[in-house]
Amino acid sequence: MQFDPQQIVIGMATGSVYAALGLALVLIFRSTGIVNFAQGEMATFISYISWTLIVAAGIPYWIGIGMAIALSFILGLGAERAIIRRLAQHSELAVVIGTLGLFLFFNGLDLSIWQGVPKDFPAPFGRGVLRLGGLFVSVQYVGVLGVTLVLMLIMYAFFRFTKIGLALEASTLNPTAARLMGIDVNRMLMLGWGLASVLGGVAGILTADLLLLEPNMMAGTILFSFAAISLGGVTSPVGAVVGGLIVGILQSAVGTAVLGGTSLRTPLAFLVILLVLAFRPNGLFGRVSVTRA
Amino acid sequence: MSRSFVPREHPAVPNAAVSVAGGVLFLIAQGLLFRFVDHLPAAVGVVISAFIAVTIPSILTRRVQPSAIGVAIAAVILLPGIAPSVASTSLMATIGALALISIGQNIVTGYTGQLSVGQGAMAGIGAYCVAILINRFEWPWWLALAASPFAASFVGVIVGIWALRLRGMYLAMVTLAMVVALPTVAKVSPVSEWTNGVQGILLVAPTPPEWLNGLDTSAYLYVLTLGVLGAMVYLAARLMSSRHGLALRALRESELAAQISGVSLLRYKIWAFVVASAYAGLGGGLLALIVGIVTPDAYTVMFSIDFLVMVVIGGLGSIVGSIVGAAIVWELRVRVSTITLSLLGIKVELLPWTLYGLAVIAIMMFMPEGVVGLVGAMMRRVSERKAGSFAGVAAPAGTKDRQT
Repeated sequence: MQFDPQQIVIGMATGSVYAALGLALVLIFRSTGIVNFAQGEMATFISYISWTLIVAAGIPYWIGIGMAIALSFILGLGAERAIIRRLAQHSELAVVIGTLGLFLFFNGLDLSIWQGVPKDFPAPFGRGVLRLGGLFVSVQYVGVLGVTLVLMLIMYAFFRFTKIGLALEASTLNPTAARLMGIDVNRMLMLGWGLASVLGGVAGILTADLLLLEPNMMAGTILFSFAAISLGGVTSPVGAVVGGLIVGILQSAVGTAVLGGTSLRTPLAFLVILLVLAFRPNGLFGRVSVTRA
Repeated sequence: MSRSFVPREHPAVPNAAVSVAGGVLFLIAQGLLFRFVDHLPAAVGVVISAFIAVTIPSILTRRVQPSAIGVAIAAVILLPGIAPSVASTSLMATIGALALISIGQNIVTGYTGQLSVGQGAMAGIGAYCVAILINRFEWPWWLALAASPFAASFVGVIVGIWALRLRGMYLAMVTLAMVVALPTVAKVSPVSEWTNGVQGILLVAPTPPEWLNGLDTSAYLYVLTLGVLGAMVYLAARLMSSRHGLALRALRESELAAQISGVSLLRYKIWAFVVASAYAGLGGGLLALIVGIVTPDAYTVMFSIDFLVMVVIGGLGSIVGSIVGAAIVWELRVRVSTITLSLLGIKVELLPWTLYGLAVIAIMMFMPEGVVGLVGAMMRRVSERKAGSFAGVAAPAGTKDRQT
């Protein structure tokens, strides 16, 4: 059994990706009360759009990214307004099934339009490598982790200190009371989806940078993001990041320490989810919620 | 005292009997026609038999619907005989097995409202159960098949007890993880000692017994599937219309109200999940026999999600819907590889599941009862119109009485 500290570095990098998507999932859960199964696929779609803008159309890098992020906001708004709102009138199950439909749609769309050959995504942080006390840390890893931490802080501050964040949460927790307080619940839900879509888009771009841009890029990641937010607590941005990093590091450790470990990454995620649910159903940082009938 | 002219029905003859009579008449008519008339085109024969089989019971009992339904079912069952190039016995048998898994999906999602995407994995467990029992332990195939639902429900109990304690989405996450994990686990040692890893297990199809000679293996499997499907549909119908089924539907509508009414939330959720797993296991076992090989990579995430698509398209909460949905989705999957759209001069080749996704969204938005719901609504409108016309004018019931 070998233990290589370099693995922790790699684990933290992949963990940051899980955390970034996890942040989007936490945001959408906290602002709309459901889990969006299509978050990853929408993120992949936005990554492909950025790639098309930057590589195929030759638009300057950061402008292209900006356009893609703006598009992801509109995409989120649109999805809520056109689809989710209608489905929410039926039932929560209808909404979740709707997100599964979106998953299928975007996954198929990506594969149909851009084909399955992986594409190289231009690096936002450059490809340099740092040396930190004997470990090789690529600038990419630092950048991804850095962006994720910044997003986490923004999200935390957003929900804790801003009026809009409060309004967003109120819209989910008690829509009637929120309306009575003058909050436009529908607009808040739309905003929640828009913001989550933006977060997802950023996560997608980070992932495309770290891994290769291909249609199933996020399809695998979303499972580990689920494990991350289950571990950290579905309502906690800090939990998403901590959970993501733990899952990432665990994966790397299992991958090298156990023989044939790389193929065990997925069952490991399964196990993590089950164990967390058994002992701490609300995750490490999650809120225990009590519903009044 | 005047009497309004209302067609008199024969209440003594139940609708089900009329359906069966219609179906049997169809079979007899088909048999006689093709025996005594040479060179009869298949379509003509079907139409004549259908006409005879529908009109005779309808005239006798003054009801059209039951005999029409009976003939329709008989026609579908006979499809491999009528149009073997379009609907071969192996295709129909596959649809039948998938329908079993789909019924399970409907039990847990349609009736109980729990989102499970694990039916594919449960089917895989059933399939491996059958394969391992036959090949390694030399069980007779029918005994192995009978064991497959138990293998799957065993796993279902374990997973259900863990995952169903919490919010609904956790079941979805856990079943998703299960589906993703299954191919990997089946390929990794020590499990691969049993599952033969990525190459999978080859199965020899069961040979038809002596008294059914003349039936080739494929047709035999088809008849077997029909029998199993029929029995399990009957069982599901009985379960869902029983006290238990009522409890499940109460759960779907409002967990809180159900609990107040005395429905044990956890127990019924687990029960629904386990029953669904059993159906999936049986369907998977049957599929293993029909397809002849069990490989880990066949059980993809898409395979599992397919069953959700099937029940949404067919109709959530309808057993018939599960079967219809299975037929539609599988037919499309077999026949359609890409769909080409021309948008503003740009040709885009879309993969089928892009449109499945759109279909799922559209159906949930506009006709959440699926195809079965749509057909049901149409039939109801037809019969309402009939009742109105027989009573003279479409007047409200009250005025009619006052006129006498």
